[in-house]
Amino acid sequence: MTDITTTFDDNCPKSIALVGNPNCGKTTLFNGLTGSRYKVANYPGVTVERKEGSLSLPHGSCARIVDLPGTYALVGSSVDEKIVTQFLRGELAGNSKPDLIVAVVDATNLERNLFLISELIDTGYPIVLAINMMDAAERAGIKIYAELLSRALDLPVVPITARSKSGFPSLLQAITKALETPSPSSKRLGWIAQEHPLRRAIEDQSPLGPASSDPHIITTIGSLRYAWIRSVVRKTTSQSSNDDIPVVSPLDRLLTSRIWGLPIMLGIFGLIFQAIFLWAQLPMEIISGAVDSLSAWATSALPPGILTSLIAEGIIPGVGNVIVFVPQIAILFFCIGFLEDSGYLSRAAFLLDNFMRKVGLQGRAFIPLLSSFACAVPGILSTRSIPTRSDRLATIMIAPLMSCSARLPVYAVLIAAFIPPTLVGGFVSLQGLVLLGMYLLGVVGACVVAWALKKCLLWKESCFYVMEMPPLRKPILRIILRGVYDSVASFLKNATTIILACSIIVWFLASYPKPEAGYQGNPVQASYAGQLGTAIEPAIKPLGFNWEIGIAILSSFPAREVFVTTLSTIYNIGDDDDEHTGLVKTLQERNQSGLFSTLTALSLMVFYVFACMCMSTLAVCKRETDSWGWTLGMFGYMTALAYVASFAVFQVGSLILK
Amino acid sequence: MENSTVTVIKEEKALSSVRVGQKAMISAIKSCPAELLHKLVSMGIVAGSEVTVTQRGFFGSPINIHLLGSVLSLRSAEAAHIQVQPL
Ligand SMILES: Nc1nc2c(ncn2[C@@H]2O[C@H](COP(=O)(O)OP(=O)(O)OP(=O)(O)O)[C@@H](O)[C@H]2O)c(=O)[nH]1
Ligand SMILES: [Mg+2]
Repeated sequence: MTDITTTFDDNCPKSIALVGNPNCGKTTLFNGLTGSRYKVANYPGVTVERKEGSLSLPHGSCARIVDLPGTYALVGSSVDEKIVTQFLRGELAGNSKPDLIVAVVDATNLERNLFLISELIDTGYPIVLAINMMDAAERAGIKIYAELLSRALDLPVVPITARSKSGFPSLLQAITKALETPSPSSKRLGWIAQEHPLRRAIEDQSPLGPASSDPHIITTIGSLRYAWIRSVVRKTTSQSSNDDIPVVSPLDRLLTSRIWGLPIMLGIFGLIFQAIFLWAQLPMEIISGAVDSLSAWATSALPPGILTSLIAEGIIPGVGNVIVFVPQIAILFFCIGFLEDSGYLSRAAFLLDNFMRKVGLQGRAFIPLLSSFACAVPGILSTRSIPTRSDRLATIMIAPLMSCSARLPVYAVLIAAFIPPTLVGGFVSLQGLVLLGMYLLGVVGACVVAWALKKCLLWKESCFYVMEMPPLRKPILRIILRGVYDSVASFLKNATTIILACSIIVWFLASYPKPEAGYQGNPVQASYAGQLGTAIEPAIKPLGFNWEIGIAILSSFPAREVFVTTLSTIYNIGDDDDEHTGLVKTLQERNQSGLFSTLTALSLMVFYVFACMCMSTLAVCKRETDSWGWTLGMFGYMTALAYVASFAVFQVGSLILK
Repeated sequence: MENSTVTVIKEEKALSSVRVGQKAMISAIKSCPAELLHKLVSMGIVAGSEVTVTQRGFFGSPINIHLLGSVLSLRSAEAAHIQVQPL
């Protein structure tokens, strides 16, 4: 495991672990205490690895604090849950046992949350209990008497609202005190009746030791703990009667209804794709206009020479044509963030479980797959919360088939250039529909692959789907916008590093060697890049691609956006006039002169739907599966699928058009 | 909680066959793999807990139950292990 983000010096010798159920607000608390901005969202299983930060305490001392994945018990079933147990055992590389546990519970869900606390108490670690979401509890009419609870559990108890940082000073005080004078929790097995017939067998179970496999012991311990918790909760909380509030709100009922659930879900996703095209149009035109004029200015203002040519033909169009997509990417992340923070994702998982089971997956896989629409890397990481190994592997293998935001520039350029901006039926944009089609194609491909994988390769094992439905909440704009900002920032960072580097390399390879005097054809074709493209042209001709597209595809193996960069660079060098136009216009001109057909554009988009062209995806696949076989398998099957699908599109399309 | 006490014998059935809106008391979890059992127990599915079935998907699965103040979603295959007494 190499997932510690920062290391700290010896000035902060003490360490604190945040432990609690999934979705109880641990990361919100962690971010609030340390000023970090890790991902927070309204579904269980957001955090899947430990994250470290430093916390400054009153009196000027400090401590290291570790955010952990959520878990319901110390016997975890999925990879992320097991991390918690391993951490508390001190088994994870690079960490020693923590000095203090800050246990976080959700005030609106106290009984279930206290189960884990009852186990933590048995570990003997010093504990400070933070009762989070006091705001939501208050709204629900739940009163928690912290003093009484503290006495009943024999722990310091601090009510907080992590989201608005209320209660933090008291929490920090309690933490400081617990670190200075640690008092190991002493209530070991406080919940077990003295005269229970199974007392001896139960006492042999150590909370961090191996899990019992005797069903009788498991259920007996569970019942005893819950009975004890019920008695504690009865003594220390009160709930104003709210019998008239339905347990499932009407909106929730509608979203998960058998009749309306699926149509609503399709409507939501349809709307997202419309938004990506329609709303982003204006800002994109502004940016692309600015890039064009910058490029023209560079050509005219700088003295002619190699450097000018690098800047005007390589860097500006290369990087500029990627930056153009910032508005679309921002909208995509905004929509995903909205869904994540509303709690809708778990409803979608519920609606899709039946279908997912048919293709051999489970409803939970929906969440990793949806985040893969943003980027496959966090998507693959979040499969850690899927408890069954074969389900998890199948989900990892198909995650990169979800069209990620790096494909968006490729689709968007081709769609804008080749698909007319007509409105179907007066209000649905055809361009949005084609985009939706590309995303759906990836999804369908993923279903087939998952089904085949589970049928032929992956062993049968008992798999289960048990999931807590988070409450539907009104998403917080601030949280969503922070996510959008972070994603756009990392996209721009990419554009100014990897993509900048690629565009310089491509410019060089496409400009040299200079053609000999008297050479009539396209100067790029004579260059190194051109020679390479020409060499592979026979292999890609059946897909409808020429040597120029070949260069662009080859160059986009490190990252897909580079396709757009490369294409605009080689067209800029190839065009003998000094006028630089946006890539979309250039493509349209080529379409009119028969150099780049609409069918080729379609075939190309289909190729990008399936092809595995992303080093980071392969790297994270290797890390998470810990197997070269699966990693190379992913690369191999996706490349093959891309080739076959594009071949089919182009050949069948050519037949029809004839 | 004391499931050994004598109660009026009501028909016991699997949670998977309880209809939407019905309240029931969990009486036992039967023939369930240990890993799943740990999960169910830790989430509050223990003898004596009261549950209400709130929603069911197509073909009756998944099945959502209200328990301890929040909603859990499980498949009918998992719910079949859970024996309940309708209330
Ligand atoms: N009303 C309210 N909501 C909160 C509070 N703290 C966190 N939340 C919300 O609860 C949800 C879960 O928060 P997270 O911080 O991601 O929870 P977590 O415990 O880290 O979750 P996992 O990483 O999945 O284990 C988010 O939607 C938060 O905005 C709070 O004090 N009050
Ligand atoms: Mg978290």
